[in-house]
Amino acid sequence: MSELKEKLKQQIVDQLNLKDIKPEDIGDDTPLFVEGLGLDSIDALEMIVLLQQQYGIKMVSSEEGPKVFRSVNTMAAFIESQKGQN
Amino acid sequence: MSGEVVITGTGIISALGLNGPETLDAFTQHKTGIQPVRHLHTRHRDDFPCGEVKASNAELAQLTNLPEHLSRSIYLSYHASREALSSLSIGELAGLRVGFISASTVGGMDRTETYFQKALVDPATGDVRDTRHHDCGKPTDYVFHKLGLKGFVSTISTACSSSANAIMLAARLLRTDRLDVVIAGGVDALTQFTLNGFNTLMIVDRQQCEPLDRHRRGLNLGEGAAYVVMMRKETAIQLEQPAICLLSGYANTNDTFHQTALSDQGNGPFAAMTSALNMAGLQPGEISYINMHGTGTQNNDMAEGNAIRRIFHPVYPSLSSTKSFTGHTLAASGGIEGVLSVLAIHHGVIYPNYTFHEPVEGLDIRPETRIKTDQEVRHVLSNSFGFGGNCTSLLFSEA
Amino acid sequence: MIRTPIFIQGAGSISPQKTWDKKILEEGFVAQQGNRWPCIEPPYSDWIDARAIRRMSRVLQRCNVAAQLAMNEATIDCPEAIVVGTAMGCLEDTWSFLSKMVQNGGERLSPTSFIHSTHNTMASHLALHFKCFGHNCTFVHRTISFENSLTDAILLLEEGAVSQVLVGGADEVTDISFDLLNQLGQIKQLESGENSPGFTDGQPGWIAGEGASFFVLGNRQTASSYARLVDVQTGAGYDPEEIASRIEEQMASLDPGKTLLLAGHNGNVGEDSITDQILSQSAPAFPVFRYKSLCGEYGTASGFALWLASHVLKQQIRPSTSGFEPLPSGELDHVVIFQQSGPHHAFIRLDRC
Repeated sequence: MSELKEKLKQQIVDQLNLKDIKPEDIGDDTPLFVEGLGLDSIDALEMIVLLQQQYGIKMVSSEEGPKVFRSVNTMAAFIESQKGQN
Repeated sequence: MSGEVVITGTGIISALGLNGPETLDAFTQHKTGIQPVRHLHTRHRDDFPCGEVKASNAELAQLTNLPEHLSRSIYLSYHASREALSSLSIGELAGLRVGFISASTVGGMDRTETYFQKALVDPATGDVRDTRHHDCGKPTDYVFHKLGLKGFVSTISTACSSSANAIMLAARLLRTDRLDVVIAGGVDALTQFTLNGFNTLMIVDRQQCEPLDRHRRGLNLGEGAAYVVMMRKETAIQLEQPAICLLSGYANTNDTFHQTALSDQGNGPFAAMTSALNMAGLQPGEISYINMHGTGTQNNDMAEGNAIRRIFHPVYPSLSSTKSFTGHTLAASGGIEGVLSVLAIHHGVIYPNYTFHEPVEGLDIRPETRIKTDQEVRHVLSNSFGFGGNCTSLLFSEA
Repeated sequence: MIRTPIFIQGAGSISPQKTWDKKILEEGFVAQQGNRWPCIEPPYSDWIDARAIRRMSRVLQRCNVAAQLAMNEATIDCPEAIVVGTAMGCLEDTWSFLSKMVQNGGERLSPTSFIHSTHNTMASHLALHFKCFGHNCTFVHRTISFENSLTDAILLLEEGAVSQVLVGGADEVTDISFDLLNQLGQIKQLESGENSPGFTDGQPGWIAGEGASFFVLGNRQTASSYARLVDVQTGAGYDPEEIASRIEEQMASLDPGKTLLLAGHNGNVGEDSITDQILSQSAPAFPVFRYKSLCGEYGTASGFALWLASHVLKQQIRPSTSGFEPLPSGELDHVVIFQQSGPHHAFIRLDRC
């Protein structure tokens, strides 16, 4: 799980081209949107692409987004739960 | 500044029909143009219904008497602009300063797609000349030349407000006496580029869209073209062109909130509508009908609804989103809805929403659900709001 | 015909010359090599913060900095309106989305390149960046996109809707677009490392340039003002004789000894012979400088010409590249920018202020 989280942080930085943030700056529980990293709705869509590209997880609606992308912890948990389903 | 600007001709092609009468007929019969994809080559054929013009490129070529293998935008643009000019001969324009102002977001992207699909598989295949159609100005120049015009030409691209801005620029060039007659509007053909692009934004409805509804799921894409012929009142008299209506107000603002979303309170839309009303010297209560931008996305309908509430609450004019019939035709939408506004005044009709169940949460805005005929339609507000915060409102008034 | 005094209060340009650095006015322009002239880029991160820059393609960064340069000179933080011309739009993002769409069959596509592929991205990015709620428009009509934008800006000032407006033009050349133009036979064929032939080799083809040029136009003459914008005209569908008589009419009131004509020759022998025909009929006595010998050919190159014209009038610099007759050394009071391309011609006149 912690390996997954570290990988995720690097992938987030790459996918969103976060030039001013290093993966290690992102805490497992740091809010990714608004008050935390300050990401926005376009970033949420980019993260959906990230999940599809890197983990083969297809989200058909953006409604789950806010819950899944709250933090690296929630994203990792979501990825694990999807693995369980396959 | 001289003279009122009048509309003397209209042309329209969309999923609802090939011309004005067919379009009105579709509303009368309450027939939506949003159907499974037939002509666009796409893997998403079965995923997303679209407001396609019901003719293949070959059929459009035949209809317009143009060569095959042009970009679809050229056929649509030429067809609609010819209808708009049907009561004027080019000979009558001799000695007048004439303009053609079109609008486009995709230009000839369909031809570029054709080339890339071949060349990316095997660089030796694909005809690179297809890419000469790529840019947005190409269809405008082609149609301008084909119409036999000489004078001022331009193309505007402000996403979904593009052709509303074309009509607005035409009015300003007329009012400052730079031009005498302008054909203004816009075109966009459906392309894989736009369908896939909107799909990445996850705002495309997989069913018939339901704008202005609490349970709306997104937009349907459409295609088409529409143009109006505009001139100062005195030119219309001189050319013996009956004025169908006036363009009494217009405004262009920027919402300046987000690249792909409007502010919740609809600040840009509020400013555009308010400025257009002020320019025309009208009170909100005098508006007969609002043709809303009404895309069917969560964000637009909330923001636009809030802006309308701020101006009109508690007494709303009749309103609807005709995109529930045509789909969202992007750069053409301001022109298509502008022509619908003109026809509303001309024929005394108010257009419905295709469906409506429950208002958007927190708003008391209820669109018409059946066409209303024999109405006294005096002033119509037409909204066009686009990505990048581009907001334009046009106000059409009886002549 | 412009019915109100309009001044160029600030000017900024990113181009194949180091135009973002004022030292160029003393050091002069450099001769270019090859058939593709990329912009000399400023250090963008000095101008745009890291958070904002992360989604911006190169052309957006150029627009942003060129706009800042113009606004700094005009000492404004936010324009009242923004108008941009771009012939081809944000090509890098367009090709990126298109290529991935074809390769991935429509799956796993990034929304950012789609969002930024739309032509109005430049003007709307600037609106967001500078928080400008006013009029915002984008013109995309081929080689007259920039002139169309000037016309819109002039209308705004004439209408009294604003007292100043940010107006610009930008286009980029990318690997893919250069390759396409090459395949279409539009690019001048040169041996690698060969010096650019100064636009007078008598051969077909042109040299691909790119750039972003922005201006603050205002209704007052300020200390920073470069020149007065006196006229902007475009026309389509006219034959060379008609264009010549239209231009002749414009030139009639100008003194050839005090006027510089910046002409849009692009080195393509076929197109240039039409330009020459028009100018020999309409302005035979006027000194001509071929400005695209500095910036290359692109849809909004006349934006670079306006930047150049502004400095010719204010600083009285004389542009030069080898192979042309020397320009008049006396004081210049007027610059006329003329271009003819395909069915279009355009005319811009600036007066010293």
